[in-house]
Amino acid sequence: MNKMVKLTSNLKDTLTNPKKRKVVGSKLLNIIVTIIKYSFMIGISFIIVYPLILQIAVAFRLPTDVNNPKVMWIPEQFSLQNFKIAITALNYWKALGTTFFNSLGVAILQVLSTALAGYAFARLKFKGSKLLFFFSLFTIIVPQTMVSLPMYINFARTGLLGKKYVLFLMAALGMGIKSGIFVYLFRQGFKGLPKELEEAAYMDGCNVFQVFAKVMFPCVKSTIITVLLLAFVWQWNDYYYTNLFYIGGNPDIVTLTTQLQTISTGSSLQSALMQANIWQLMGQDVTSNPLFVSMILNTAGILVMLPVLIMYFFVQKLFVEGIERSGIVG
Amino acid sequence: MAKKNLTKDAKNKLQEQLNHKLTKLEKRLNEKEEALAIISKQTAKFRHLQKQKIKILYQIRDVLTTLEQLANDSYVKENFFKRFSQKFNLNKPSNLIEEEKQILVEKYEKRLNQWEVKLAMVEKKYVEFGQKTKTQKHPNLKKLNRLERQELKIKTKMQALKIDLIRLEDGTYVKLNFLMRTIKKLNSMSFRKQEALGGYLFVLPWLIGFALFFAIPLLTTIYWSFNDVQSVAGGLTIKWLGFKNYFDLFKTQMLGTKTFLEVLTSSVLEMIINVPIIFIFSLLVAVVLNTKFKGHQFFKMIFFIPVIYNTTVISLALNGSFGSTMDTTMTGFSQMSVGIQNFLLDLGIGDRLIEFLIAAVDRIFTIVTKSGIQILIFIAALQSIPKHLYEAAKIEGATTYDCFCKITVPMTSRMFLPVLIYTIVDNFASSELIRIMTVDSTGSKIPYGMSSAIAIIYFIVNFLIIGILYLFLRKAVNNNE
Repeated sequence: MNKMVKLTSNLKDTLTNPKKRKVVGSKLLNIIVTIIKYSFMIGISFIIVYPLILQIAVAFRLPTDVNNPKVMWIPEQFSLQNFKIAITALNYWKALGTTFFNSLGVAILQVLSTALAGYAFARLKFKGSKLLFFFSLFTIIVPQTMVSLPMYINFARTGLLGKKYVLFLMAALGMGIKSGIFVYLFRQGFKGLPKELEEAAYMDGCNVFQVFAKVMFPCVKSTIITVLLLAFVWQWNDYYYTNLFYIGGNPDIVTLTTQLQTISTGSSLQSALMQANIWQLMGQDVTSNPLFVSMILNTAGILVMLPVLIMYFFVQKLFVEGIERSGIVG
Repeated sequence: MAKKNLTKDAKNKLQEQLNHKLTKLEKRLNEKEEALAIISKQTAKFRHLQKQKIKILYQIRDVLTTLEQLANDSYVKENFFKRFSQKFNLNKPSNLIEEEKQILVEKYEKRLNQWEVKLAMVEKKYVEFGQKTKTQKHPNLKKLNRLERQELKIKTKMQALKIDLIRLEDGTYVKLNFLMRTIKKLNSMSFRKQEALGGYLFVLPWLIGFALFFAIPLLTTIYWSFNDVQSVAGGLTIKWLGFKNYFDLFKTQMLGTKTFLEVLTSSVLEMIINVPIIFIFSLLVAVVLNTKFKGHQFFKMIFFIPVIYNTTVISLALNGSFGSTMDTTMTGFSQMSVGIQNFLLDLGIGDRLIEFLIAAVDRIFTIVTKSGIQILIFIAALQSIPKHLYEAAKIEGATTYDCFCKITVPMTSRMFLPVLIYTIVDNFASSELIRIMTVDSTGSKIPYGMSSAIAIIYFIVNFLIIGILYLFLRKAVNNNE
């Protein structure tokens, strides 16, 4: 009885005393906000992760289990058979090698060329710099599809088409995939650095090139990491450029995305598997099922993204920190 | 320096080699001298031969010194890097051969004479002009100044030449190779000139790329849009059409089952719906992710997956002829939206509203996957807001909502325009029309000229939207700064 009286009096006190009321109210609000926040974050994360998990769950099924209604999430029997089939269909190891080599080379070249341009736009005063910077922004706005066709024909004329260094050439000249954004990022990164840094270097007798190479470039490490990663991943994921300029109609060159695209169209997957003597082994009841083909395609999709995903889980902390410290300030 | 004593055999071998080299060099020297004797002076070939001769003389001297060292037992073998670094030593006086010394002295004296003549001319001009200005009411002081500066320049150059000549006589002259000379020149440049030169050189690779891989193709596309372009074996045939391509697009041309106008309006509508949603969504997510709560690292990791995960290629692959059956079960959102539809019908909400909600739910996936970069930019912008602003606001009694409206939004407003532009461009690149265009231009269903016209119309629409946004936002951003 006594307790009840105490409680009610306490409650009365909190409700009548404006200060206490405010404190309790803010506490309640905080709790509600955290609940909303978490449910929001978890919900969105679910949307992002759900297809990924589904893809992975499907990939581990046995080919004979495609239509098994019992199997929803966890397969009855784990098997790597899908992966084996997809690897042969994709010509995986060869394609992985070329893709990795291309992506790394392009990423490094993009960093170098765009950092130079970004530094010039950020810090060096020369006639026409504003106009040129406007042009570099213009390259972001104009979609690549608008210029790719004449470029294709020009490349074909000059014999650059299908050469191994085409992508490198474009990256080195600052016109790779979304290079305009990288120029912008580097410009902002260099603008965020204090002027005193440069001045001190000039006072000590450095020339422009030394100031850039020895002082300013190492100072934008976070931007470098961001650009390196984004350039790498975008090159990895790119289908359009690679197919148009790098492959150039040459069937001997394979990269992951183009290979995925070729096996997804028409009956090319079937013929690829026929060549490897897998199609005949699987039996009529499996191969006649259209779901079998899409399961293989799905596994191939995972295989294409797997190296990047693994890399991402290793470097994600670096990546996130790099973005946070890149100081993109207007 | 530690002396490395060679064995006798090696020594003999080296001596033999050097002697052999010496005879060879002498032979070549003779050849050069004969050639020099025939050719008259003052020609380019003469100078070239002289240079070669001097090079040979140096080589002979090197060989002779090593031979001497071998005889004295004072020979030390130096590695590559040491020799290389000695070449680039700025302070070590170079031991010149008499012949080269003579040539250099001749050259410098000749130059000195030339400069003297020029100096006399400038001085004469200066005196003449000075006398003229005395009588004038408004003398042209700028020209006078310029002449003065010219005089000073010539004098400094002459001084440098004189110093060089003295040094040549002393034997303290330092010969520089091309690279060192350019570096020295660069260091002695005025700061502004250096900056400008550096700027042009830094931009040069990008500029070449811009010209070759952007400007020229873009102009070609614009030109093609007014032409009938057909690909023939071995090239293209181009026929002038004027605006016919554009008229045809709006009147007769069909893209698949729809007219061009329908496709255009639908993709613009799509863009108008998607862009604000992506923008608000990414700002919200960035604000939430930026606060430190339990597991924010984990959520950050998940939210950046769409940035790296290639949804377009994979969904394209799965949308192919085979994959379509799997696709619905793959994404699973059609099931989800059906469930929601039934639930809402049970609640008794009108059909129109349900349709809108279903469309929104279906859109969530695309929005989430498309907003990775935007979240990233916003987080970077949020990180750059100083923390003390929030603390001061809290002390003054501002609520979280106030903080968001009056600190967060204004401080990130400078990133609004880049984010919006990126979003619009990104949407544009993945829109239906572009897909039609690219597929058909490589498969050449639509003629090149027509597809160029499509691209240009689409770009103009895009550019207009961005321009309107810019006009609106520029004001807002300016007010806040």
